[in-house]
Amino acid sequence: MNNADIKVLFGTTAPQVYPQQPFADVTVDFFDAWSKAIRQDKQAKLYPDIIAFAFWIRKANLEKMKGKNGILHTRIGRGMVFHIAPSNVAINFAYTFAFGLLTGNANIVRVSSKHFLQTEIVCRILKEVVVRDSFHWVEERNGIVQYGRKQEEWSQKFSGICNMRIIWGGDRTVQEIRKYPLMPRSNEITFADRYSFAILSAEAVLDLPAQEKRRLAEGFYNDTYLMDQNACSSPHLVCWLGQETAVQKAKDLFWEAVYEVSKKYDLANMKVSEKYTLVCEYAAKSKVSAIKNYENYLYVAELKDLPKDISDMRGKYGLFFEYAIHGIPEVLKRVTAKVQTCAVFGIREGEVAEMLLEYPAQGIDRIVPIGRTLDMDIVWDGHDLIRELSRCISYGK
Amino acid sequence: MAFADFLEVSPYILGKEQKQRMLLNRFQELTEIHRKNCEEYSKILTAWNILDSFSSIYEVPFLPVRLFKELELKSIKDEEIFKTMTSSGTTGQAVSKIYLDRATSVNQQKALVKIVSAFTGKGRLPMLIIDSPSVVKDRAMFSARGAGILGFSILASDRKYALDENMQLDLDRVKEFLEKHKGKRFLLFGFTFMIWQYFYKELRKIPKCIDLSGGILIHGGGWKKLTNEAVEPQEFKGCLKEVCGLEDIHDYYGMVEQTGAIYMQCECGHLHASIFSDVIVRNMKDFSTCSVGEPGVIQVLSTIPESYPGHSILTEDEGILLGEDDCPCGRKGKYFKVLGRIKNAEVRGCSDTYE
Repeated sequence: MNNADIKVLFGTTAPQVYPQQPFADVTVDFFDAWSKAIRQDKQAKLYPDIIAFAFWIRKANLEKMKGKNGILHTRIGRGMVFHIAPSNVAINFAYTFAFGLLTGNANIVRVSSKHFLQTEIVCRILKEVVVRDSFHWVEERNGIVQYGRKQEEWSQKFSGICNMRIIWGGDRTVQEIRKYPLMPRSNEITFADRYSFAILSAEAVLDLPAQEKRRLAEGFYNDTYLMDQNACSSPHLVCWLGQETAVQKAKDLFWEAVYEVSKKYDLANMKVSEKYTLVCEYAAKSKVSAIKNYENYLYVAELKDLPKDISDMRGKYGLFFEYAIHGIPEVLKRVTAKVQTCAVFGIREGEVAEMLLEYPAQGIDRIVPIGRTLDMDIVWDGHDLIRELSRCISYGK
Repeated sequence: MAFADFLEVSPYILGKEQKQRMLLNRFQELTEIHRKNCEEYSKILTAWNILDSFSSIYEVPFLPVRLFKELELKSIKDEEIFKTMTSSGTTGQAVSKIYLDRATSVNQQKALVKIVSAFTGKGRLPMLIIDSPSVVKDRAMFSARGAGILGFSILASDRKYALDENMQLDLDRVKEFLEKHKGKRFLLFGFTFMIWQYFYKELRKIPKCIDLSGGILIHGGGWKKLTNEAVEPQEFKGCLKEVCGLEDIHDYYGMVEQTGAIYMQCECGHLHASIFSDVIVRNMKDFSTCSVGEPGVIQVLSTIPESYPGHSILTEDEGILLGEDDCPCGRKGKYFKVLGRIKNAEVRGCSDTYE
């Protein structure tokens, strides 16, 4: 193990373990100071993802989260959490770090070896806040580090001393990191490849005033194109709920609106080539009956049937599948454990949740309105991270 | 219109209108053949709601070139497969699989002979192949390199390989070849990168040890690897002239998915579509047609493929149409320039992203 192989962006590679209660006042105060510093930073203001993170860690939001989570006073952080952050969504390292720290743990966050300005900015402000407001305990108990994928010794070392390991990235990453043993009582949370889809009510789309239609399309664009339709929570399939004629009309209106918004997408030649190949492949394999294109910005492929496992229908760069359903259970039947997010419009989220609970489905961990699929939260991918990153002390009778 | 009709016409003589009429007729027919005989092709056309008749060749649907890597596309029965050609992908990459029956294979050769003869003159010439004979050893699976060599071999009266089994220049064999055909015109054929790496770089060590001024070099296979070494087409030509006197050099553009219908480079440095083929440059925003001078992605159309649905293909190469029927070299038809492969896109999102 060579110290030259590791770059410490913040804190230390040997964090002091000093467990605390989740949402301890001192922790919340630190986050609030960090949040303010980010929001006042000229450079940070240029990045909406950084600003969204700053809002997420502000005191009011953390207090709300704490309040929603009931009795936490018998809980305490597990010790040290080792995080492997993903390399495509720049800001996610900050969220996973916050999850670990908020729940009262020391942390080592390994960020991607890919260079992101967001990482640099967030770490710079973090250092400034720690010095300015004397939050020295934060740098003694945490480390944000960078090392190459090939520098396996570091992943092995941190895996061997952590009480909890969090792996973001996907199936391959999970396999790769699992080679390194954990201590007998340690645990891990893995964020593997997932699939997401949407259910839209045709009537609700038809009822929208023009302005709102545009907003819905913007939301859908943000859910999908913003991450090249490659995020775990980006919908690939749109299920239409409603009467046949209404569905037909709603489809046209909705896709037309999405197309208008999608014109701002960076449609590189290679993306068109891949997307065109993919849609032709689905057609050749008899999966789709008709393809509608809005220039090359948007392809909508109508499914012949709902496949046994909807997660087989995967688009990219603005290729979506659609299918008209007569009731929500029709699609729930085709949901496997791979399915993460169900984005809805014109349907009560609770309605889908209730059906899921009643219907023994293995998949769907979150139900959110269209436009909110990328919103990070401390309950993610079916994991309640507050509870999983802390231990519960039982006493008395 | 049968393929044989195209063999009756000189490859670079027809003007726009006559050529388009002939091509439209043929592509209409080929589209019907494949729709009838290739289930996957038919499903794709149905999904895109492609009608049965076209008013111009610009309406002929095109398959993305990568589809030949993903699927096994053929319009013949398995027992009719005469040979299967594959693209020369690097290890680990998927390769295109192109299924040929006897007729399509023969037509590829006939077209190639017609096209190349238009540059080299009628009659076979002795040919020096700048490659190793080991490339064509395994005849069951033809790589693009092997197929290219074998294809061009039929143009030769006598052929010799300039490199040995280990890709080393066999200077004695080259000298022997030159001695034998002294005073005659002869052909040289090879792949651009191989010529540079294993032929030119060796000759550079002993300049002017051989005189190839009586030869015509035809080379293809793309510039990607040479661009990595920062070698420009002009430099390639200049360097070869310097070390061995070679002056008559023609690049060609072609691909295993449309073997035979190659695009030869003329004396003016332009790639030409022959009577057997055509190019359309498309704007990737909406697949609209680019006008002369406007860069886009190249669609290639070939009159040859009957055994697999590859008569109209959208490549992953960028290019520019330079003109039609008015190249200073006098050849009719479209002429163009290849700019290189489409760049890989930087992709966002979070599926497997540990770096």
